[in-house]
Amino acid sequence: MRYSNQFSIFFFRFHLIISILLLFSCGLSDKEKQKNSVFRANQFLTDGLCAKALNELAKVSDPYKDYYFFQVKAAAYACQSGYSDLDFFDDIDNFNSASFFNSLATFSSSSETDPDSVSFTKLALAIDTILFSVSATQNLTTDRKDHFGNEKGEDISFQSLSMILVYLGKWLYYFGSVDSDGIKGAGDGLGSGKSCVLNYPNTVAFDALLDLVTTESCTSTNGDTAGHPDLNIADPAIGVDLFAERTCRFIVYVNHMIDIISTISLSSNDSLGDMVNLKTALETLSSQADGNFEITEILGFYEQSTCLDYVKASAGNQDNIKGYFAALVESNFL
Amino acid sequence: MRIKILLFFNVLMPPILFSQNYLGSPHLMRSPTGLILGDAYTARATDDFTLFYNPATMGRNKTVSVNALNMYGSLTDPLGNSEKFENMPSSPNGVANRLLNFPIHAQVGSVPNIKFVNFAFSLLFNVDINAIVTNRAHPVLDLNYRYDNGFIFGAGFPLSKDSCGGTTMGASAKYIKRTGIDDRFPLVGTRILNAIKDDAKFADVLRDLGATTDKTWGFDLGFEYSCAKGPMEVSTGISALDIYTKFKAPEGKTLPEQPMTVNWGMSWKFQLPLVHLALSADLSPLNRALPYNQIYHLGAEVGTPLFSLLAGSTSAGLSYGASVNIFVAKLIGGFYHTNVGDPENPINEKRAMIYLSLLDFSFDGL
Repeated sequence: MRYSNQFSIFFFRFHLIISILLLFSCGLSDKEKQKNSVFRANQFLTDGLCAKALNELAKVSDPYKDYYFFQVKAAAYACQSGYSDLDFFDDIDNFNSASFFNSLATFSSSSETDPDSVSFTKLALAIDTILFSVSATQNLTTDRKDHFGNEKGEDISFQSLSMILVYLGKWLYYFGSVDSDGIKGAGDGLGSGKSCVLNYPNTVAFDALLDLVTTESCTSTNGDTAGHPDLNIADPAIGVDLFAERTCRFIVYVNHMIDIISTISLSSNDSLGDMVNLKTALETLSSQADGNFEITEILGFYEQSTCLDYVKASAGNQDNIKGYFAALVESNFL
Repeated sequence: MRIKILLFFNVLMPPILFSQNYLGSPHLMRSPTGLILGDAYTARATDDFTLFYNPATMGRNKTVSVNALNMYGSLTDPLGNSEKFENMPSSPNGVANRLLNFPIHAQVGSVPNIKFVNFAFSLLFNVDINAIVTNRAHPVLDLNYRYDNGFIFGAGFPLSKDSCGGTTMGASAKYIKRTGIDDRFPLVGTRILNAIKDDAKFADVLRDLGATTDKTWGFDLGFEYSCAKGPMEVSTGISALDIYTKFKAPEGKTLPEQPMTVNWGMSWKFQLPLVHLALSADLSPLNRALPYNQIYHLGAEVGTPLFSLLAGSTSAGLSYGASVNIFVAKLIGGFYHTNVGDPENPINEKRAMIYLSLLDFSFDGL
């Protein structure tokens, strides 16, 4: 009896202490709750629950320097677009820097039949989540490295690079109307049989620019019928707005691709295929993309809005955009 | 006084987020016996791991013991997950898909120790690695690796006595050198791709991923009440472990934290010369913002001096195993479950564990 009384008293005292302890236990701080939301969203993406992941991330009010937040949010949009790093990893094995536009168009994820499909729009959202993670205005890889730290800045930039390559692959597949070998105009889509991506004015300047590469079948002699119908600025259904939206998206992402490739340290790891040589290939193209047109300014567009304003400002600027495509794209996308 | 001390701990220490990625144990060390008993061990840790549960337990020790050679290891249950490794795909895509959301754990260590009545000293060697790949769109590797070596010493003292036992207070100090990493890496990212080079060794990969080293002191404090009468013994104890055990990592690197944990346990033991039965329960860790159903631990042991059957239960699941004592050797083996990942939506992991102790000497009657 005495034994049980002594233990009961002591047990009661301990229980009292524990109860007080639990009563006064603090809850999670806002920062910890946000960290948990990011963690949980990442877990949702493991199960392919893209929308649930985005709903969870919506609870995070101040992700300012949270590298994981932007990484997971971009992945959630990418999930909605059907993108996976693992598919990219398989595709990159066949990447060829010498004909990289054609290479990108043959990625397994490139097959696109609608320029406004969810896989296009959500992937663009995913890319922009990272490209504008530091601020709402122009962000470059160096800004992300300064903001998130050198290694994490490179990692998150590489995440956007892989999605940019997949986006460009889709873009080139659709607007280049490629076949399974990535040959421009040989596919059976809306642009089947078209030798160019854009239509080019039949002028001496464009003739000269397109003749730079003798193997290219795209010429300006066919006027408004050579390019993909969904990029025909003369078609009222397309007009300047859609022409600007679609070409600018391509230009901005190519510029970011060049920025990322020239800034991050790419390993010589075999798993990256020929991607390590992409930097040299892009530098060659950039130097080639100059001449009779003022395209230097275009090579500095890192924001969609800046590019849109430029295209919509004048017919001369639209010609410069066509000059950019003639020099940089047509001559290297055969 | 005791209430003031405990409230002091509670107010000063925020709820713990023990790991960047919720992998790895919040505790510095766990007893193999304890783990099979559902980790309901705070009030009955009288084995080699006493100081890692409650230093106050040394207050009731009446023996001199030396355990010079012991070793334990645990591994993600290889038998229960064999299908994961059959016909493994050859492509990285296939491998990653197969291992997505599959926690991987491996641990080895040793705690050679000596106990001299109320005083104990133990060396500590522990390597613990936990990893998991999540996120189907942008797969990331959560990696928690730590290699600890150091020592811990502590003592327990009687605070009050009654007819069957009394209250003890204990304290311990430890010095730990930790090398580790606790971070998340995109599988297709520059950090991983730059670290995994041809002919790179495991240590090189860890270094390139950002593994770093730091040394620190840590302290523990505990109280215990125990009462033994006839064949029965009851005890209850509370301990605050790793009070301010802080490791520092340089900018851009991470090291697994060692958070303070507050643990409460109680046990009941019925012992006859040829048979014993013990039941125990813990609430641990109390200072983490978790509901009761995620911090409860229950354990039961029945056996003879040579052989015991052990079982336990936690929110993660059941644990079970056996213990064999032969002269100066002891062998323990079993399985236990643990939860990793988001506390609100955890991933359940089953682990196999083995412990072998040789040259285990004990002298009673002091």
